[in-house]
Amino acid sequence: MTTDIHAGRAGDPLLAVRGLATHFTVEGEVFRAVDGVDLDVARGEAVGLVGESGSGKTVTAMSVLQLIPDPPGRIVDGSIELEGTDLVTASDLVLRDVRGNRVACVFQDPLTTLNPVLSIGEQIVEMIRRHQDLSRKAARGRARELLEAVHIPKPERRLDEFPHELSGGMRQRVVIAMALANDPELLIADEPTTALDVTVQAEILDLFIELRERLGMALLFITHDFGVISELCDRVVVMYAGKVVEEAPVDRVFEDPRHPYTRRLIDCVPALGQGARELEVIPGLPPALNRLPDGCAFAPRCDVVEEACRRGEIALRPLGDGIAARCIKPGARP
Amino acid sequence: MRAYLIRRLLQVVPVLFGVSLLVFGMMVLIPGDPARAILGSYATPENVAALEADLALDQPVHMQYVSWITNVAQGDFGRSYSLNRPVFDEITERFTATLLLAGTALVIVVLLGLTAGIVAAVKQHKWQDRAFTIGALVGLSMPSFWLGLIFIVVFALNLGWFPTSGMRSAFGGGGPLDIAHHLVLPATALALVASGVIARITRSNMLEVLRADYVRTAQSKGLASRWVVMRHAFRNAIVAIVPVIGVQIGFLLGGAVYIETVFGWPGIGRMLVNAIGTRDILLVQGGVLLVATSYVLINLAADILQAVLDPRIRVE
Repeated sequence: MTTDIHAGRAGDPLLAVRGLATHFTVEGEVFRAVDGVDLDVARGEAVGLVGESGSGKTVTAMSVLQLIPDPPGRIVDGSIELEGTDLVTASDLVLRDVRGNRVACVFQDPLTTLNPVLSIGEQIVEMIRRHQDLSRKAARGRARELLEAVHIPKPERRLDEFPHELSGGMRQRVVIAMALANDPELLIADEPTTALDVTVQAEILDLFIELRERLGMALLFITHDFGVISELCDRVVVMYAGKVVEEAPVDRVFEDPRHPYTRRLIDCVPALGQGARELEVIPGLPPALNRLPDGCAFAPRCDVVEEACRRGEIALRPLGDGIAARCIKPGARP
Repeated sequence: MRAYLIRRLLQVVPVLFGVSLLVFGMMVLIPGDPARAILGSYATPENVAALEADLALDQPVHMQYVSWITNVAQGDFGRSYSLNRPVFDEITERFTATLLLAGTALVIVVLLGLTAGIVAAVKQHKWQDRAFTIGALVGLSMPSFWLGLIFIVVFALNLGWFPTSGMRSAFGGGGPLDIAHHLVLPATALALVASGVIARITRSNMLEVLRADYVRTAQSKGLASRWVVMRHAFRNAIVAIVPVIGVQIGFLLGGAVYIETVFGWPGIGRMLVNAIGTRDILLVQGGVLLVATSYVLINLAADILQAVLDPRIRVE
C-alpha cells in the first residue's frame, strides 16, 4: 500500500510505517481501529497526528512500540520500520532495547501513567539504568538533571517524593523527563496536554517546543487540537476511522486543506479575538469501526459528498509538494 | 508515617478493651454460678464460697472486671482446675505449638497463593489460569478437617510417609526434623483453603493492575516483562492483598481448632475444645483472650505493613 509520496522523499525516514492494520476483536466482532496506515517520521521532524477520538491515532502510535494489549488488540498487517528494523517482527529483546531508549513515550494522563507506589527517583533511575551502564548514584544524578531540564523546582527533593505528592502538571513534567532519559531519537506524545488544566496545558506545550529546539529529536505528537499542531509541528497527518485522510506540511494545511474533514477540523479551532463567533462543530459521529461504510468513511458527515464518494475504496492520492488526500475532489468547498 | 502509626496504635486500645469485656463476660453470662460450674456439682458450700472470694465474685461486676483485668495484665490468668497448673503456663505452651502450625501454614499460603494468583493473572484465559482457578475453587470448597482426614488416610495410613498424629514421636522424638515431619500434613491441610482465598484475590488484583496505565509505562521503558509484572504490577497488587493475608492468619488460627483435633496437635485450638468439654472456664478465658489479642495485633501489623508498602495510605 506504499504511496509514491513516501517513496519520493529524499533520504530514508527514521520511522516508516507501511500498511499498518491493528484490529481489535471483542466478543467475536472485529473493530478495524487502524486499517492500512502509512506514516513517515524523518530524523528531527515533528509530525502531528490529528483526528477525533476513535480515529485510530493512539492505536497507531501504540502499535509503533507494540504496546497494544493482546487480546483484544492485534497488529494483523503491515510493517513498522525504525531505520530498517521491522518492529512488528522484531524479537522481544530487540524491541525492549528500542523501547525507552531509541523511542520513548509520553502518555495522556499523568495521574495514572506513573507508578503510585514507587518514588519519582526510582522510576526515572530504573529507566536510565535499563539502557545505560550507570551506577545507582550516577543515575540519580542524571535523574536530577533531567528534572531540572523540564523546569521542576527543587529537583533533589522531588526525587524522593511519590506521584501523589505532585500536581498534574508536575507529574507530566516528570513523565517527559523520564521519556528523555536516554536521549531518544523519537518521542511519541499521546495527547500529553489533554488531561491538564488549560494554563498548565500551555506550559507543557511550551516545554515541548523548547525541548525540541534544544534536543532536536523527532516527535510524533498526537492531538485532536489543530491549534497545538500549528505551534509545534512541521507536518500533519489527519486520521479518520482508522485511515489517513490527509497529510501535508503544517503551513499548507492551514492555508488550503485538501480533505473536507481536515477543513472542518480547522474550522473547529476557536481563535482568540473572535469571541463572538459561534463555535463550529462537525455534525454526526465517526462510523462504528466494526461496520465501516463502503467508499469514503467520512461521506455521511461530509458537506460536499456526492454519489461517487460512496462507491468503492478511495485511495490516498499524492497531490504534490508532500501533500496527499483521500478524497475524489480534493479542496472542494460547499 | 509516625502520625499514622500512633493513630493506628491508639485505635487498638478500644478494640482490646472490647475483647477483654467479651472474654470477661463469659464468666458473668455463663448460666448458674461460675464457682459452682468450676468446682462441679459435688463441691461443698465452703469451697464454693472460698472460690467466689478468690475470684472476687462476691463483689459488684465492675469491681470483678477490674480485679480480673489487673491480674491478667500481670500474667495471672488463674489456675486451671482440670490440669492443676497455671493457665498462663498452659496457654503459652499450647500457643507456641499453634503458632508453629499456623506459621508454617502461612508460609505455604503466601508462597502457593501468591504464585498461583500471579501466574493465573499473567496467563489469563490460558490453561495455567484455568488449572489454578479450578484448583483454587476446589481448595476453597473443601473443609480443612475433611482434607485432613483424607491426608491421614492417603499419606499416613496408605503410603506411610508421615505420622498420623501428634507433634513428636513417642520414642526419641522431639528434634526439629521430627517435629517438621509431624508438621507437614496438618500444615498443608490447614493451608490449602486459605491458599485458595489468596490465589483468587491475587489473581483479580493482578488482572486489575496489569491493565493500569503505569504498567504500559513500564513496558514502554523497555523493561523485561517479568520485571514489569513483579516490580510494577505485583508491587501495587500486594498493597490490597496484605490485609487479606492478615484476615487469613486469623482464619488459620481459628481453623487450627479443627486441624489440631484431627491431627492430635497439642495446640491451643485442641486445648480450647478440651477445656470447653471439661468446663475449665479460666482456661477457656485465657485461651480465647490470647487468640483474640493476637488476631487484633496481627491485623494491626498487616495495616502497618500496608502503609509501608503504599505511600498514599500514610497521608490519607
